[in-house]
Amino acid sequence: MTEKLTPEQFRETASRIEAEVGKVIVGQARVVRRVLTSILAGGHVLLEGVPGLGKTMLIRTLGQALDLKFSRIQFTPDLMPADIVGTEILGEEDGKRQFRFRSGPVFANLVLADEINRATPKTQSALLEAMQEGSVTVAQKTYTLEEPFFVLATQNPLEMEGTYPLPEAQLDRFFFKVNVELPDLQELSEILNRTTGEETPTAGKAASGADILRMRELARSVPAASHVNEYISRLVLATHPVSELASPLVRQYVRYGASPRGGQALMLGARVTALLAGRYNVAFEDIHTVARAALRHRILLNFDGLAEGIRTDEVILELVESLPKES
Amino acid sequence: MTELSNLTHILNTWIRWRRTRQGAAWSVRGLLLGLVLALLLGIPSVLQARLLRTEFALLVVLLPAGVTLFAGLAAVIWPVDSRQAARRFDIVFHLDERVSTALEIGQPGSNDPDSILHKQLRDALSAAERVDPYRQYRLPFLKLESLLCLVLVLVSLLFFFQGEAWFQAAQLARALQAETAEQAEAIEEILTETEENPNLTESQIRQLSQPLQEALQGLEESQTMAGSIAALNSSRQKLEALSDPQSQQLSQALRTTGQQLAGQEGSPLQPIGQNLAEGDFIAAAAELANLDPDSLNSAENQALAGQLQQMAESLASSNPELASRLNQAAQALQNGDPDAARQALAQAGNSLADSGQQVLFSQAASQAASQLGHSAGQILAAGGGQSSSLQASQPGQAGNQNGSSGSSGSGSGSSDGTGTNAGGTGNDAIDNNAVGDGGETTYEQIHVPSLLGGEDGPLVGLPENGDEGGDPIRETLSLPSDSGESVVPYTEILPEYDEINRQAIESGEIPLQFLELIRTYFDSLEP
Repeated sequence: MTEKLTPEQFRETASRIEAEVGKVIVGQARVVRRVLTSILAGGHVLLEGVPGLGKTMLIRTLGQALDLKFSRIQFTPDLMPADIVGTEILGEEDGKRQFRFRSGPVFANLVLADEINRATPKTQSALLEAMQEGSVTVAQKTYTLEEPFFVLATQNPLEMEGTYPLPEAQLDRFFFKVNVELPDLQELSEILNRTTGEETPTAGKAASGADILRMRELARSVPAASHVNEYISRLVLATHPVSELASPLVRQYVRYGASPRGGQALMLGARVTALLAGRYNVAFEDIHTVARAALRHRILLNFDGLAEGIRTDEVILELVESLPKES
Repeated sequence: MTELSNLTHILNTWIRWRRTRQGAAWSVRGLLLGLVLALLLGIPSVLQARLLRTEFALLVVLLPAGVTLFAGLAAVIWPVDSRQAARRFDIVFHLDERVSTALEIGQPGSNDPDSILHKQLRDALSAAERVDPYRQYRLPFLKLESLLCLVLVLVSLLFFFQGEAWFQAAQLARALQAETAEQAEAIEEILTETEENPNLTESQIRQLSQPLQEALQGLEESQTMAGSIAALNSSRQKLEALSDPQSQQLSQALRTTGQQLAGQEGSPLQPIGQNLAEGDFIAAAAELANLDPDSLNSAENQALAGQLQQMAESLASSNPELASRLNQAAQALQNGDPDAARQALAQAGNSLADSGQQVLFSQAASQAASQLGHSAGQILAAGGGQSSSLQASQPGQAGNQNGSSGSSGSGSGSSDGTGTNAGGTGNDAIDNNAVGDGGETTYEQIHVPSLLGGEDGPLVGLPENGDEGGDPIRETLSLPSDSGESVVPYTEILPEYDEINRQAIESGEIPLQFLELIRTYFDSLEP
């Protein structure tokens, strides 16, 4: 049995990973922190942003910083499920011809699903099953995926023609949805400097898969007081327009609120955030930090909300500000 | 265990300080509430002249003090849940739920000092120890509440110092109430005496009792001084109507005759005379009716006849019937007809008894009327009006009245408008146009032609007698005389106005708070 990680070691390792990623990725500290939080909490991440912001680069760098088996799947409309999970092929062994399973790219620790919304729902669901169950089934045989297993998917909010937006039920399986914003002027200049010179920076190994598993275990042991726990529950309920806790904005523009998975994401994300902040308990502030990433893809706007261009982030922000900390 | 105890200790200190703070805050709120309540109760009462100055002061001091104390104590002793207090502690001092989490978890089960729960407890204790609640969470200063309290205190002071007219009116109303109750008691006594008077018949008692009972009822039901006085005057008039104006003369004549007879030693009429002189007309009548001529010799009968004639002469003008009977009896005695004399004497006795009873009834009615008049005067005096006019209007009551009541000029007399000497004589120094105890004082001459618009008005140069030059400023039609002075004597005008004043007071047209002012003004006009 490996030795238990201390909170200080947790923080140190996380800092190391962020530092290694930071060698390649300029800025985007918030995005990196959210993705790392999700990984340390054991969840999958959906990154959304316009092309060229470094989403793929970020995930690839993260794969380099973590000593994990990395694979990348470029989702296209003609991508088949077998291209992801693998397939049985007919081969000859010991003079006999028989089917052998040839594993797909999903058999890795860190899977980059690039432009996930470009594949057909059938293909998407093949990946999403692996995300939820941690295993894949091919020809009536189930193959367990190796831990840790993370899917970091990206999608482009533009060029929606010929895409297949992820259904709500599948979106819910992502722990966080992180929006990647444009870098500011200073960051952009630094990006130009780093990526157009003679040397291309690369990230070194900062943590292993075992480290990640131990960090995940420690994160789950961070205590949360009952009123903090209750606050998360109330926050989740408040995202539903039928709830008496719902804010006016929710009542007006939300069709359906977050599922219990949203609450789990909030709690686990807050626990990791607390440790990263050098604390040993969950605070309201930790919940607020991860609230948007954990809830924005779990809140469905109604027609009015969509028509008026309401963003789920606005709804969440209003909820966080208005919901009393004690019932 | 020590860390948890220390954390609990810090939390308890915080709870105590928070109670103190809450107590202070709620005391201010209680003061505000108390002042609001006191003024809500007090101001209407003051404006309705139902509260004395001291009572108002007590109200605006004691009620806020009580509410303040109650609110402060309630806030201090209000039950506090330690979990809630810990959460509040975290929020107030930005401890990120460290303390509440640590206290909720309690003592970590693991003995590993490096376990996250141990670390969390130490972290919470360390954070809590850095907090200084007394410095970082000071006693609150509630600006809005304090400002409102100040405003309300100023309002209270304003009423306390500037509400003289209302407080005086309240004092008058109280005095009036007390006086009304006292007079009602006196009337009840008269009623009882009347009902128990053995010399009156039942019919007479009923006649006398009815107005008295109406007066009592009027006093009970009337809400105003004017109503009370009206009820008393109405009953007084009824009683005066029952009183025979000649009964006084008759009574006097009988007494005088009695005194004459009482002086005749050895006469059979001497005991009758004594009874008459003492006013016991019924006993005298019985004696007269029982006089037996047969028990006297002829000479004595002749002497008796003469005395009866003398008696008849003295009563001829006041009671002709009795005088006639007495003359008949004397005639019979002179004629030597004892039976006729006995019969005439019996009839004379009956006549005397009737007259006596009429006199007693009339006296009782007069006495009751006098009491009602006295009561009306007292009530009017207590209410700030003049009692003298009422007292003076009581006919033939001087002998029955207490000389101290209704004396003009007694009662309150204000000097400079700052106080009232109830029942006193108002001896304070009197300013110009102030009113006092009815004594002589100096006033601004109201009709000074040279001062248009009063004392502060513009001075107009008027030609003196014999002055030369300039047209005289006068309007001939409006001036009663060439000299510009009134030709009607002051003493003739004043009673007219005084009567109008009295009628106005009795009719209740004058507001209570002005009664004192008007009364003292007319007192001061007395020549």
